[in-house]
This record gives sequence, structure tokens and C-alpha cells, in this order.
Amino acid sequence: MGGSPLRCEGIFKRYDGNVVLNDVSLSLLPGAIFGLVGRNGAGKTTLIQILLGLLQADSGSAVVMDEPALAMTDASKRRLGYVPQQPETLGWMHVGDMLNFVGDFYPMWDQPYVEDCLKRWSIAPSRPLSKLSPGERQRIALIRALAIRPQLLVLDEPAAALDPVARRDLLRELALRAGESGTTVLFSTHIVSDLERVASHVACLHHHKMVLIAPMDDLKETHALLQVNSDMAEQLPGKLPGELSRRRRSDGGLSIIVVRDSGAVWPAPAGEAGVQFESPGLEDLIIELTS
Amino acid sequence: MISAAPRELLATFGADHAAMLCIFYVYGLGSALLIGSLEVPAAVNLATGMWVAGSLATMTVAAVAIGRFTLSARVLRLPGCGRVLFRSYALLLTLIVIIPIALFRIFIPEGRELIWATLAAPLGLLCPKLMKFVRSLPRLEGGIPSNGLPTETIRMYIGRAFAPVSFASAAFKLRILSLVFWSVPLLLTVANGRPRAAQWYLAITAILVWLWFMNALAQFIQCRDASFAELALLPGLGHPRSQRWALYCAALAPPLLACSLLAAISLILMSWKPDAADQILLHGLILLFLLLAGAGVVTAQLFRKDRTRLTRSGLLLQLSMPIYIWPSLLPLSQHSPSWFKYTILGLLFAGMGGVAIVAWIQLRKLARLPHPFLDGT
Repeated sequence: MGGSPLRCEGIFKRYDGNVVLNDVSLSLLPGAIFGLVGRNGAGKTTLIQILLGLLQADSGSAVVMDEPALAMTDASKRRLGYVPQQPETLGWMHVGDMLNFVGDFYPMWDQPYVEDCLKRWSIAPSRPLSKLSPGERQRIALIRALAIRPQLLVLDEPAAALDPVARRDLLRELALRAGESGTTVLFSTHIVSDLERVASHVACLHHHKMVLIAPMDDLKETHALLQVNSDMAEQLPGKLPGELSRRRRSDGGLSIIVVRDSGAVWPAPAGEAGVQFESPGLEDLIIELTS
Repeated sequence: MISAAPRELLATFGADHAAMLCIFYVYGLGSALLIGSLEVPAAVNLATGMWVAGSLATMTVAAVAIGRFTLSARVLRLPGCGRVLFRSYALLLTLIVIIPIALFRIFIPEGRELIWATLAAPLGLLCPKLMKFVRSLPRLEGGIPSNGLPTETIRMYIGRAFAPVSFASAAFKLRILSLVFWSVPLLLTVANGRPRAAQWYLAITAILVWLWFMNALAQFIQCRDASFAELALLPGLGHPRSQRWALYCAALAPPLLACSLLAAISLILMSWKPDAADQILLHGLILLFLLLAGAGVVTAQLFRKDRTRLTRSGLLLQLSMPIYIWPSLLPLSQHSPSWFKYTILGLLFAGMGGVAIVAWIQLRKLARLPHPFLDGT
């Protein structure tokens, strides 16, 4: 499979008259770990649901492993792992029974991996799922998703409810296993440090639009924060070439995020007096883009 | 602005259990009062009996919810949890015992003696502890193969009440044993020529069976995004349309079959009465209407392309079941209601069902309010 395992083009979705996604496009490279970041209510979960064919977009198309998301075949489903935000399914069963039950649907099910993880995380197979803590339940969901040896793994804010240590453990496991098997991963989060820890690419949703898609390694070279003082701000033209966001500060100045193509020059005001050129960290960049 | 006590109660129970409690409470008490105030002797007995059963069910769910809250409070070391629990218990008992007895005394002046049985409702708090002795999880014994029936897979996802069990499992033996114990009083009452008592027995069984299935379905629907998504992405369930059809079959068939069986036994008992032909016809018409309405909802859902948007209609259909079941199992005697009052009863049930659904939706909105413990932080 040479193409993108998960992509969408021109997605538009409206709920009760409110636009939730506006012309959103995304394409995941095979083997990439893609972090989808955005504030609460930005549309991350809706986008994931549309990408997986769980929701129908008003317009646009979503494709999973070269098949329309709304008509995914069983062959594709067997190569797809999914971890929801709050995995509560089959909560009435025991851990071992649930994993056996789900494993029967996947020919590539990795039972030794399941047993190893349960042992490593000290989760007894005989425990009822409903009695597990949220962190343990999230770990079980991750084991379940990774044990199918997925080619594509989608996680919807997998670590949102976890404490920092549990979150780090979970993400480490995700990065390790996905890296070993070359799995393409898409995970949504609003915690920037999670992105820095595992993601190879980052996408940012803001105000229902995709405002940033970039490889993590290139961010510093391709994105800049221009701090424009108040005098210079008055003289600036409307929109700069490559401008992604513009925020007026309390002192009357402007904070502008600009992007350039690799090797290209920065937009004109970057070197002028009254304009401070900064190379923003990921957190600053996301805050500027979404504030 | 909502005062602290109901918010504390809501936080103590959690949205899912609180939604169920609200449905039991509004539907049980409201229907009982409305039916009881019609001043039909048979209906007054039904109304009070129904409320007593409803109050027990409410208390049982409350006990489960409170147990869950206490466990979380212990893990999180929540401050002031004892006082919150005390206030929640006090509010609960006021709602379940004191207010209903007062309302029954005001609105149903005659034949409401059975309402004092509500005083036994707090015993429902012991139910979860008692259930631990008889509960047995269905063991899968190798699991369901991926080439198995989609409906069977979906039933596993809906919950314990719907899960298929193998003949060799402990759960199956327990069910058979329960059936045997259940059928003894029924056979005894019929053999002693007391069809009315048998119909009471069937009516109470139908309510409990419906609550059992509804509880599992409500749990499944409460976490609907995650549950449906995981189910929809499971291989082997086919095209979204066939998957949706299988989900309806799985969700509707077991409770409908169980309750229809009970209704059929009740109808057979009813047919012993010489003047029951009209009421049997009415039952038939109501059942036909519900089946057609249900078929319409299901058919409309089958034309959708996405995989997860079907819950509300399914839920409404499920909630409409007791509208048929409860009046159909109405014990008939020489005091049985007239055609007119009988139809009014059905409409009242339907109306109260609507109120319960609105209450459910409102409660879900309330559940999104900040936790009372976090106020002022």
C-alpha cells in the first residue's frame, strides 16, 4: 500500500446549524505518528469520526486504506485499531474474557503481547473491567488496539483523563509499538507536551479549520513568530504572505505567525525595524495559532 | 440556578444512574398518581403496586450508584463525602417515601392502603449486596467466532442481560433454575383457579424483565459514542445498513420476546373470562400499532449511511414498550375499567413516557454542570 492510509479532502460538517468542520483536508504519511491538536470543541472528535466513517460529512470525502470511509470492508477494519476517549465497551466482562472475545475477530491478534502487557502493568485477567480505574481501562483499550497489529491506529484523546505518569507510560508504549511495526498513528490531544513526546507530524484545528499541518522537525525552520511593535503595526499591510494567524497584544502590537516554504525567504517585514523575529517553540506556536 | 442538594444527589449518582432513577421516579410515580386518581378500583391497586415496585427499583439503582460513588470518593479521598452522602440519602428518602405517600393521600382518597408498602422501599438499598450471591458472569468459553451471527456479537456489546450464553455455562443454569422457581407460584395460582393473582404475578414479572433489559440498553447508550464506534469498527458485522439492522434485532428482540410471552400468557388467562373479547381485540390493536410504528422507525434508520446515528429512535422504541405491556397485563376483574377509561390509561402511560424522556434529556444537561465539590475552586 503506497498511498496514504488515512486521508480526507474538503470535509464540511454542520450540527444544528453550527459549522463544526469547515473545508478540512488531511493526509497521513505511512508510518507517521500524527498528532491532532486543538482546543476543546475545535472539532477533533468529529473529524476522527468522519475519517473512520462513523459520521457522514455534509460534503467532502474520507478514505481509509484506499476505501471510502463509509464503506470500509472487513479487510480494512482488521488492520485498523481505534481507542476512544472513554473506553467503556464490554465493561460487564472480565479483562481476559473481553480480550479473548475481541481477539477472535482479528487473525493477526498477538496473544503473547497481550499477556506480556497485562503482566507488565499488573492487571489480572480475572478482574472485571468495570472495576478498573480509568487509567487501567485506558491501558486495556491500548493493549486491545495494539494487539491486532494495526497498520493504522487512531486514538481520540487517549490520555486526557490520566495523570502525568500514566500518560507518559501510555504514550511510550504507543510510540514503541508503533515504531516497531511501522504503524501509522493519528491521535488527538490538547496537551502539547504529548505531541512533543511522540509525534512526527502535527496538525492543528482551530475554529473548525485546519490551520497547521507540518512535520515536527521542520516546524522551527518553516514557522516564525513576528512580534510587531505598535508603531510598526499601524503601517503593516492587510495580510502578509504565508501568514497563519495574527493576534493583537494588549500593548497595541501584533503577534503574527508566518510560514515559508523550505529554503524560501521570510516575508518582508521580518528583518525590518520594530519587528522582532522569533523561532517559536511548539507550545508557543500552538498557543498563538489557537488563541 | 440549581440548589446544592439536587446537584449533590446528581453528582453522587452520576449521570447514567441518575437518568435511570429519574425515569423510574417520574414514570412510576406520575403514572401511578394519574391512574390512581381515575378512581377505578382495579386501577388503584395497579397504580399503588406499580409505584411500590418502582420505588424498590429506584432504590436498587440508587444503591448501585451510591456504592460506585463511595468507591470513587475513597480513591480520590474527597473531603466532606460523608455529609454529602447523608444529604443524598435524606433527599432520596424524601423523594421515594415521604412525598409519594403524601401525594397518594391527597390525590387517591379511596383504596390506597397498599401505598404503605413503600416504607419497605429502603430495603432496595440492600439489593446489590444480595445480588452478589446470585450473580454469575456468563463465561464465554472460547468466545464467539468472528464468523458468528452479527446479532450475537452485538448482544455481547449491549450487555450482560442481552449476552448469549452457552448451555454449559453457569449463567444458563442459573436462568433455568430461576425460571423453575418463577413458574411454581404461577402454576399454583392458576391451579387454584385464581387467574387474577396470576395476572398480577405476570405484570410484576414483565416490569422487572423490562427494567432488566432496559438497564443494560441504557448503559450501552449512555456511553454511545465510544460503544457504537468500537462496535462499528469491529470486522465481521458487514455493511453499515446490515449492521444497523442487526443492532435493532439484537436490542429489540430479547425484551420484546420475553414481554410478548408474558403478555400472551396473560391473554390466555384473560380469555377464560366470558366478556374479555373486546379487551383482547384492543390488546391486539395496540400491539399491531406498536409493531408498525417500530417497523417504520427501523426502516427509516436503515437508509442512513453512517454507522452510529440510531440511538434516540431505538431508545424511544424501547421506552414505548411498557405503554403496551403494562396495560395489557392489567389484572381484570369484575371492576375492570370501561373501554373509555382503558384507552385513557394507555394515553396516560404514553404521556408519562414522554415526560420521562424529557426528564432524561434535561438530566443529561444538568450532568454537564460543574461538580459541586469543585465550586469555588
